[in-house]
Amino acid sequence: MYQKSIQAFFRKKTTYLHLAIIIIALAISIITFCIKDYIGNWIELQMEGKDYLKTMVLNAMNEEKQKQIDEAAKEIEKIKYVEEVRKKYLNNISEEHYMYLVTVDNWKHIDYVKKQVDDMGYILGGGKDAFEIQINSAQYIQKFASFVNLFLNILTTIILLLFSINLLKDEKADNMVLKAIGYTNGEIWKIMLVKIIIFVIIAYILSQMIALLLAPIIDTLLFNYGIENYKDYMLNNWNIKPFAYVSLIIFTLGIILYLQINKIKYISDRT
Amino acid sequence: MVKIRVENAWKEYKKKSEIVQALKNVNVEFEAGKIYAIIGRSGSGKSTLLYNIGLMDTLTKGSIYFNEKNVSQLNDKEKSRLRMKEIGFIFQGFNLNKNLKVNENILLPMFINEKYTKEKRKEKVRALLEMLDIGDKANRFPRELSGGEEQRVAIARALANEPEVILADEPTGNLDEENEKIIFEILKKLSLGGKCVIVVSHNPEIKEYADKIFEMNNGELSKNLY
Repeated sequence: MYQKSIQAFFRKKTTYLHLAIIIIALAISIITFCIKDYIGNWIELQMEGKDYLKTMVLNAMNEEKQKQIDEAAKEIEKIKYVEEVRKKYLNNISEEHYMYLVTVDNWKHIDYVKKQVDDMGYILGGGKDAFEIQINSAQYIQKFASFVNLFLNILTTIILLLFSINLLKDEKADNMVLKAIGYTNGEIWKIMLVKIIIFVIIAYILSQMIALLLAPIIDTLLFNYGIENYKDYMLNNWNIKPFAYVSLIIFTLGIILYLQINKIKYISDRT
Repeated sequence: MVKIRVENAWKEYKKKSEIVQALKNVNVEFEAGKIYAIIGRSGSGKSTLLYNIGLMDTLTKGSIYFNEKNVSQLNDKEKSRLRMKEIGFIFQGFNLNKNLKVNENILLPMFINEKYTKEKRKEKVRALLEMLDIGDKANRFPRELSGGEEQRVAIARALANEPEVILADEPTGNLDEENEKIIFEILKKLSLGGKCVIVVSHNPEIKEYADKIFEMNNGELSKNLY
């Protein structure tokens, strides 16, 4: 039942044009998704591995302010995410000179705690400042990849929707004939859905292959920003999220097709 | 021997905001072994009647009987199976799948018919192509055929499941005089072979071939003209 209809579908030149567009859009979508995901993991790994980055310093510039920071330390202890506020004496200068070491539970909360302390009128030094430049450029790439990924996801969805609408229009006469020769609405729907599933799976596999083939080039580009091992990540991690996204699109298209195909009937202009 | 009866058929549909009455209390009977012509102006309701007989559309009111069985209330699957076994459609624009070869177009209706094995399907296609004198076109695409040949392929496809009823909507609308004659002769031959052939046509030539002629006017069917 499906064989001939699918054969006819893949004999059309427009099918290949649509396929090429979707493959390119999906490939960019997969690549940007992987870059975004990989950089996110990379930043976490960099920060998690260095516990001292979670510790910041609160100190007074002179003895007069010492009392104020004692008060502040008590308040800082109450701030959410603060794990520990420890007094540290600076023995090499004087017993009277000390500072407070503020440790947060997770590096992701450093900015939050710093902001709270800043609102109190004090400045916390250190923390991830040392890594700031490297992390910033990584985060910039991650944000850019996220934006492109979002844009491409929307674009791919729109292209697939337009493709399905076009397919329905294009095959309206063929579907009418299928109905006339005895195919039920359900059978016509299955034929259309199988065509789209095969189409999208081919597009997905080919775009994954493109993403893998381009991995060494992207690896070199990211290496310039100090981000390593992207290629290994691509080769060792089969990312299920783009596939889940494609499946969701197929599911949505299936419902749209079902609703449309149930409307097939002869509508005469000539009566 | 099939017998079709249309009883008190009414069909309304919306065109923009206007309600169009395409069929108004149509009562008519069709029998096997005859060729019926339905003539009338554009918009008179003749194609609407044809596609309702073919169960491609649903009447607003009234019933259609196939061998005294009311088929207008059947569900989609039952109607589809009845179309597959009993009804063959021929369209003005041929409606062949442009991306399938001639033999593949004819095979299409047979895929859902359990009575055909793979071998029988091939045999049937060969026989139909020979019968319609297009045996040498089996592996051509429709774009490589003339209009008359395309319509003969469409007739072969309509006959693939050996239906009792042939419904033809302006079958010669896109053909020259010579091919018109060929197509009408094929349809006549089919009726003489025991099939019930109903033809909607503007073509006055149909009068020469039809056993009965009806005229549609504003959704109303006239009595038999000849």
